[in-house]
Amino acid sequence: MHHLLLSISIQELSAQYFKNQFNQVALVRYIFLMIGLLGIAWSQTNCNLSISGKIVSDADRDKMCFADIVIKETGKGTAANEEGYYSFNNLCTGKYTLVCTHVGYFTQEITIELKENTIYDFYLKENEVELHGFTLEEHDDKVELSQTKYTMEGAHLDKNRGATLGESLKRITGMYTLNTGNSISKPVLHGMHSKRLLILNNGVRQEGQQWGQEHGPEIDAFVAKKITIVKGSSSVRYGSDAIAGVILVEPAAIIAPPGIRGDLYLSGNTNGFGGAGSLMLEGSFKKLSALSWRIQGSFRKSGDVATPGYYMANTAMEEYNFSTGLGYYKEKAGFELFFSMFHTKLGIFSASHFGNLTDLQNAINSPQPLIIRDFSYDIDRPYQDITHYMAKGKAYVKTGQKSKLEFTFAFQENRRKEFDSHGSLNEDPSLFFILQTVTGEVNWQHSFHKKLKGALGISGLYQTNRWDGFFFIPNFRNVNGGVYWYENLKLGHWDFEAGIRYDISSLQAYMYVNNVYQDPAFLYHNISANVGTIFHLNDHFTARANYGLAWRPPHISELYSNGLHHGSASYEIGDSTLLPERAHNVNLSANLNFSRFKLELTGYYYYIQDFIYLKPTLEPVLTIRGAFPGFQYTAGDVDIKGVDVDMDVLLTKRFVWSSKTSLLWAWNYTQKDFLINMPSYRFDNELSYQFKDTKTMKGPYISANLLVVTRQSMVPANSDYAAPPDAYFLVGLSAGVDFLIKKVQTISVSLTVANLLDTPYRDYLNRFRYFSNDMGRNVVLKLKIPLEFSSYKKLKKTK
Amino acid sequence: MNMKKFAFIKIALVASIVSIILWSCDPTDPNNPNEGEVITSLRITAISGSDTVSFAYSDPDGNGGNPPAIDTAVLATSTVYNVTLELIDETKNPDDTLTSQILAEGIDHQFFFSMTLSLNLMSAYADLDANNNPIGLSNTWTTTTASTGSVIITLKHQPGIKPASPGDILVGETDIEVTFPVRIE
Repeated sequence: MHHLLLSISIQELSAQYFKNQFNQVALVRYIFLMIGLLGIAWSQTNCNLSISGKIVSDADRDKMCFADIVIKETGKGTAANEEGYYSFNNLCTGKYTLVCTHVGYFTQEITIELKENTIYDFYLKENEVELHGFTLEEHDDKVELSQTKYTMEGAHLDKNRGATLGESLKRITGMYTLNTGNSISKPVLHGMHSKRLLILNNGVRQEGQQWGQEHGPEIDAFVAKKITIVKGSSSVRYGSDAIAGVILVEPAAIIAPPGIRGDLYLSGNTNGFGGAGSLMLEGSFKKLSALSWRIQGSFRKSGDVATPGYYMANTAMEEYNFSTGLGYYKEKAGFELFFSMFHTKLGIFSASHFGNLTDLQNAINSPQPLIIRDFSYDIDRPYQDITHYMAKGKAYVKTGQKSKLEFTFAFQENRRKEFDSHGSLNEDPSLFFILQTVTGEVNWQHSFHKKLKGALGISGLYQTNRWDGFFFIPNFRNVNGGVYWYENLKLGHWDFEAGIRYDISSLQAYMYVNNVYQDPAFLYHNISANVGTIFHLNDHFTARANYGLAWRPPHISELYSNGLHHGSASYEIGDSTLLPERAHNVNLSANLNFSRFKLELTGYYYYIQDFIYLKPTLEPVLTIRGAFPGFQYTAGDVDIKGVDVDMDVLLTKRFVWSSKTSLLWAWNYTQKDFLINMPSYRFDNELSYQFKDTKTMKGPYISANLLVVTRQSMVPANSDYAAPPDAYFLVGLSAGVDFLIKKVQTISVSLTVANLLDTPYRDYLNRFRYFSNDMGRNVVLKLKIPLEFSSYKKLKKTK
Repeated sequence: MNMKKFAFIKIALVASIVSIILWSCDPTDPNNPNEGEVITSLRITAISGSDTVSFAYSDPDGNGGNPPAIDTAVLATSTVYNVTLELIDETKNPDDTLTSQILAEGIDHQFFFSMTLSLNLMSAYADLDANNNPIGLSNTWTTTTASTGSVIITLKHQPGIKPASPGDILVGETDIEVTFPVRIE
């Protein structure tokens, strides 16, 4: 029987050889091969061998269920199971060529010299020649959400890499950024940011000093392999305060092939003459392939940013990051350890520091900033110096066929130093906060029935804050606990989901008020809920509806801020009588998906009671250093509604038109006026041309895009120091290609030109719009070089 | 998954929670914001013979809180005054004067006096720092005819960048910027 099998395979092989490559060399090779195979056949007749392993996506380490895998020699084929595992049994010793294919991925071939039972894992690389628009994907192990979800990964994410996290996300419909100059950009979703837009970094709530409008997220965007935006209240799963939605920043799971591999990203930009780079290495051990490690470091450095006509003085920045992790994954149980350090030093635009309101008026009236200097890499006062550490441990245990118990435990420390431009001569910061946070979660994913899956969990948070320097927010201790439960039921075309969560939060502040010690305490508790449905008509049409109920206790800064905010030259005043916010959110979306046309339409409505916002006091706050614009934390009942439209149209075989539209309206019922600081209408249209692939070039494209941002006319009357800036339009260009070297190595290159026409413009959501134009033309060149070393390479070369 | 491993995870979890809580810093002992140096008041004394005029900007509770009190200066016509400036931190007990500190760091500081056009008042420096540049803690003010207007007194911190006499108000960062209404009668 063994011999029969062998002879069949040899016959097949010989047929192939004779048909395709009948020449002398092939003949000699063929004879040798035959002799070799016969030799093996004679010497060993073990035919109980197996080849097995898993098939995962190289980009995000998601298991690739139902990938096809064929042994060339025998023609025997199989598909990976739901968990992404495949196996071939009853194989004889010999040489086998395995071909693994999956839609949307490059086909991979591997030749294995089979002598003993062998495990080989496939890491499929994404074939990026497809519409790089939105992808709505369904996780096998996660419950699908009825909110709209947008995922950025692979080539699409690489295209936006090298910038800050906020900037990388800006191209997502419904996303905006709240900028402080060009170095600090805070993600804004549907007009909401900071505490209302939760960022989950590697599965852990990012806990920095998020309350500040000029405090960007302390996350290295290079670590992310995948960034997902969940639009709409997602409080049940992620925390009661996820009112606007959630940004999930996910590194690839630490599952690496044996040997060492890595990724090198390099980018350079002309505006600010800056550069960024990231090197990641990962691997696993031959003897213990379930254990993988990863180490990654990155840097970014840029000088003063240029606007059309002048440099913005003191806008240089530098950033250094490091992360490392260890993962041990088995089918039954596993764990992951992760540590990261983020460090940045950001110059704050000199001209944004002014003495009093007259100076502010002068600055606003001046067509260009009052302080202009030549280009420099120097970071002078005022500047921010921020370090964020995170250590995380995660473990899972399978508790049944489809159920899993997960433990996550993390520690974060955030050190924010702000150096005022006229601090003392010694190097003490004017403001210094140390925020320490411990978070823990136990999550039980379960499936009681084939059609019913869900999760049950508890989460906790313990946080302390200490300050030094000038007073801005008091010391505090914050303890939170939450319990949640959600289920998802699949019934034919319909998916139904429902979830509920209860949170209790205790907050105690410690401070001196006029030399008197005070420690006021607050206790908040409430319920959050989510109900939703998904209707899958067929592959072409999906509709979603979701209602979310969320709440958010006021942050300490909203209760007790009192001080000059150096980063923004404003005086902020808290209100200790503020109540928690209560948000109701309805999301409706429809998704059309045809080969030549994709459309996603999302409509959203938020009604938020006691919405807390900074309201300009109009009367400036007079200090001995002059008058400063004052902002008072105030609550009001507001609604925010809008429409996001995403569309991809394949105009011809190679021309793609991508269109993104975000429209938003916000109203303050308490003030009977518009809500301040809301993004205006935004239209982003891109036309790209995809060239034919060649042997060495995959997915070459060029594209041009036009961004139109209207003037924000819906602003409260007499509430701002300057009228909202005019509408603007920006033209951009980009081009990219993957060079395929020796069929294994890919080098991705892309070139983008932002603000091609060097258009002077100011954005309503840039806090420096009073003082300066926004960034001028910027040419960015990016390179991504995957690195493959040692046995991984050898295995591949055997083909 | 056996119970042993479970117990281990539990112990590790509890141990790490306890150790981190013990190690994390204690917020219950906050800084007193008034411990640092704060300039709360600027007092000005103008002397001409036996005639003494005093006026002040004072904000004893510091920034925020109660608004500051600003006096109007009433000066005589055609008079020469010796004017001295005093910086006070009233959040301390007893009040702390920061004047000597400015004097000691004279090479890094300079006061500027600007008058509204309607006001018939001239100011001249009457002190020098180690580099023979004016500081402005002592000055000579000369009035002419009756008029009203205001004096803006600005203290600039110019560490290592203080320009030579007569100085430059555009250099450095503002430590003090106070506007006094002035009446000459």
